[in-house]
Amino acid sequence: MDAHAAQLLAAGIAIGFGAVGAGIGIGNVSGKAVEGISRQPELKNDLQQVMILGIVFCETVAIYALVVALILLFVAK
Amino acid sequence: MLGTAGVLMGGIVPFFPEPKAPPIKAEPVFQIGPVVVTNSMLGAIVAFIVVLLLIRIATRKLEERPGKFQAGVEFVVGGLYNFAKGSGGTTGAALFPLFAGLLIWLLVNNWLALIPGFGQILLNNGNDSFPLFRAANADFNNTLALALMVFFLIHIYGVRTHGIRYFAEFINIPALLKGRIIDFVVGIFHTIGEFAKIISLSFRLFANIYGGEILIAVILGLAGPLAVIFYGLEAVVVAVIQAFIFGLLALIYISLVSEQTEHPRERGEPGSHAQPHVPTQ
Repeated sequence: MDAHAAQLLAAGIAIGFGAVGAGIGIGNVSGKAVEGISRQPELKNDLQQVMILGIVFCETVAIYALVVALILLFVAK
Repeated sequence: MLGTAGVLMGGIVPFFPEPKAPPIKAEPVFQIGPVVVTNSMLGAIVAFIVVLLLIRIATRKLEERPGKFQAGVEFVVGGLYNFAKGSGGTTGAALFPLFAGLLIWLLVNNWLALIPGFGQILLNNGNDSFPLFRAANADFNNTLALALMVFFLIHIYGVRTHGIRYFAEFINIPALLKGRIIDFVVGIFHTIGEFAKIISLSFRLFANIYGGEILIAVILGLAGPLAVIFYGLEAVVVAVIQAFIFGLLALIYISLVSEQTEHPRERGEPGSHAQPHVPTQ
């Protein structure tokens, strides 16, 4: 395997595993938020805001993986 | 299937320039003294002009009884104001200009780049051509500058609220003198966490917008201009969410350090009686 093939493979693996973690996190957050809203619909606005924040922080992990993948694809020689 | 689609698109493709993922660095267009003006800076300037025009149009004819257009603008701005007040705590109203300014500028910036033709004005540079305008947020320099601005604002507000004692949260000399090593180490972790804010704020915006541009270029190359519409619509939604999130996180970070640590109720501050008594957890 030459260096370029290893780079491409590494980029794929990086974003793939990164997305797994973020996906599980976002699923947990929004699932719990749906549970909370169905239990107490009057808190919907507050819960939604906290949910969006939680989703964003989960998503950040995937963004780090995306940055690593982009660096591997475009920057690393 | 793909083959027929390719043949169908064959007539349309030549009108579009060769789909090419933008390079990770913005290309320099011209130079004023030591300042190199890149195409992403030109994109940011266009966004500024568009925002100024929007402000001019929205405030041109203000009437006591708003018409439909003015009522719409007031609804949006009022909604943002109430949102900032609701999620920013005591300083929410004071931080509304920062929140709304970041949100509107980022949103205009992100949406401008999605307009077909914005990135298709090509400049020739020898044998290579590059676009004249580029989404400012697809350039890491821009998002890093915004994140640094938010970072310094956080600490300026922190010092303004707590005085010099604010830094004891990070380098906890009083705890060290009293022999509480664990509190001191926690302070070091807080310091690292503060710098992580710069990285996460800047990379989140950059990677979302730049990733969207690459995705659009890749789909354009794979399946032609009709298929890219759906990914463009997704990019429109991502643009709104990311602009909103950047403003919201700036608002929340700053309002967190602006909260007084002493409980105002215990000091008997006037005005705290007006609120209904809520048991603290």
